[in-house]
Amino acid sequence: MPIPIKRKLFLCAVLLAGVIKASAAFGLDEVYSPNVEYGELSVEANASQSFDSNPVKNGAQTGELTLEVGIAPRISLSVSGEYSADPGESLELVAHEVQGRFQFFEPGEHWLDAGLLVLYDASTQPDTPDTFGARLLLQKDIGRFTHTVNVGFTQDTGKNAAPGAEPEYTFLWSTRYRYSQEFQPGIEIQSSLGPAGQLGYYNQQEHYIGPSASGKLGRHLKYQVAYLFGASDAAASSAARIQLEYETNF
Amino acid sequence: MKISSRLYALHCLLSMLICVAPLSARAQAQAQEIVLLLKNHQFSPKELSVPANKKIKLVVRNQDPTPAEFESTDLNREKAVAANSEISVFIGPLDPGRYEYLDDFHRDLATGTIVAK
Repeated sequence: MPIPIKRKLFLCAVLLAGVIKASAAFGLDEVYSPNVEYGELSVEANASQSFDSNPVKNGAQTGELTLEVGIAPRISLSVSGEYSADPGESLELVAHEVQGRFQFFEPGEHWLDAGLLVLYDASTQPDTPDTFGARLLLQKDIGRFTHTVNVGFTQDTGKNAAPGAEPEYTFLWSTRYRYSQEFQPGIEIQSSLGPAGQLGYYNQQEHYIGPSASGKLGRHLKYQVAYLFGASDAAASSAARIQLEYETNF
Repeated sequence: MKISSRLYALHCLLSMLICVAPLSARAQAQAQEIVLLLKNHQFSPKELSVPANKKIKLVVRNQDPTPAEFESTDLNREKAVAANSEISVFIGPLDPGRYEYLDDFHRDLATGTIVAK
């Protein structure tokens, strides 16, 4: 899920004004596996919220409702409704998203599992740009640990995109310990690195790190939860995310 | 958006693909192929011995008229197999030990263990 458009605009305004460096927290996202489950249909609900003593960074929310289908052995497609709220505002639908995930190899076939995620967000808000993006998805099992990395970017596009808008980069890392099917504790790192010109400025980027847990309850229900702590000046003190997924096969 | 920004984004995307291209181009070490049957919602053999520290291509052959799903938290694998068909699952190299698996569509009936030694 890309950074909500409204929040990006808010960030730009604040930075340009030179008032403060920080902005509303970006929405925490799922760290995607490169592996697609062919023949599976899933309904997902995601939500995240930031927490901070500074009202500018406290209470930013994102939400997403997604329908995903594994349409081919290595391809899944999904459509989503994306919701967002800046601090003190109400959650509203900000974009419709279409997303494709492509698995390059069979899991375990090579030393590293790899895939690509591409997305397009069509804004529902007036005067806000659409967004496209891509992420390289990498995964490696070492014993009972599964490490997953997503590296990618989003780019404003369409008639409402600001002239000279640059791609913004994201980095996500998840390590989980497969203790049991129902409970897999781990850690997550989520970073919104901003545009290329900001890559060397750690404290202007938003970095979060913290514990997570995921698992599968019975045959159909999967969950992910994470509570991450801000690790840079621009980040909120903390942020939480939850994801519930109901999956079935067709 | 400036052309340079578009090119920069394209460059990033291509760089991502170039990073993983050697993986697909690299000749894969030959994986030993082992067949696991699924019939009457039972795995056969129920305890499957495989060599430790070697990559295995596990062929799961579903001989039932209903679909199944090979699933293992121990191996981090989850893959559906249609009725009367087969799938391949790459596992390992495994440390010596026992690794549980099941048919997620018939959890109470179809379970098994891979023993790596």
